[in-house]
Amino acid sequence: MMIICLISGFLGSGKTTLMIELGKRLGSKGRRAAIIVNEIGEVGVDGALINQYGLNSVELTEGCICCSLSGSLQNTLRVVANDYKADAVFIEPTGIALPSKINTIIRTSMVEYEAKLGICVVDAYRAEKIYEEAGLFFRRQIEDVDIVAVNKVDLVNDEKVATVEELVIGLNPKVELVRMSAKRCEGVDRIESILFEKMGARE
Amino acid sequence: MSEDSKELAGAGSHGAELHLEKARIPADVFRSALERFIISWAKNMESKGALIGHVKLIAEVNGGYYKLSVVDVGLGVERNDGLVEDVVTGGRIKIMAAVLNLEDEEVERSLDEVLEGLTNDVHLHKAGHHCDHDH
Repeated sequence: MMIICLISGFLGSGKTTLMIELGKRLGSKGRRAAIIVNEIGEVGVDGALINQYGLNSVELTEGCICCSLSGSLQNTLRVVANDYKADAVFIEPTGIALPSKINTIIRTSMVEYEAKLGICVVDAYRAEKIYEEAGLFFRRQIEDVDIVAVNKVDLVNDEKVATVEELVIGLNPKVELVRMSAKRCEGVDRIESILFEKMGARE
Repeated sequence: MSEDSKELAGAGSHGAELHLEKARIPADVFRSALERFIISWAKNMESKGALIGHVKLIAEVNGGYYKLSVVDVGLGVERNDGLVEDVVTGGRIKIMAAVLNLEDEEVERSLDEVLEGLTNDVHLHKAGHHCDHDH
């Protein structure tokens, strides 16, 4: 049985970069990863990039899997679970998706899975600006996840990272924080080890 | 699931696929043209009041790829370079943007405004449009 890893976060926060890195790490340790990637527009860009890294991906376009494409997500999950026999399925929704809604869709998909991990990627460089412009939306993206990965820490100083972390904890006190630069592969180890803990727990 | 997240976020998006045929463009010229284009598009949308979410493209040409991404004009263009040949002769380019504070139609209009510069630079045409002349 597989685990499901939902990697959400605002547009441009670094979800695809993190997912590719995790997919590569799983592959290098003999685990099968499948990726479901969702683009808001009618043209998918990330799926093409993911395929360039030799990872297996299904791209859902022209809508958001947390609302207009919820049925497509459930169908795709069923196909991946039945046909692909993946150890881990990564779901990357659009940058404007709400994790709580996707969690409901996964729960009602009739797909069996061993564990689920919800990660929200937050762009440390832009978090305050996004919160200022779309506060309600930012808050709802932080809700209902297990980990908030504060990404792009290489672009800001420690003080700024601490401010972003304070903002996140203020919105979701239960979440685990991970500082990360997905582009530089820094901080990804912690998320990788949590993933393997989840997979190891079933053996 | 009646709540629409795109509406809730006040987001607009647009994407297009461009084709490159019978071309002979030095790879460096191709890279520069795409970078000029993507930053122009981001700046154009910002000038209309958008908060950039993500502006990105991937060129799949001659068995290689070139991916560009802009999430903040101040940070510039992020590159992922997998071009394998010195001269680009053909392939496709997928481009898309998702932003806050603009409607889909405004994002599309913004693309049309800046796309001419790119099509002049590297003789691209949008999917669905076919031209008979040699580029």
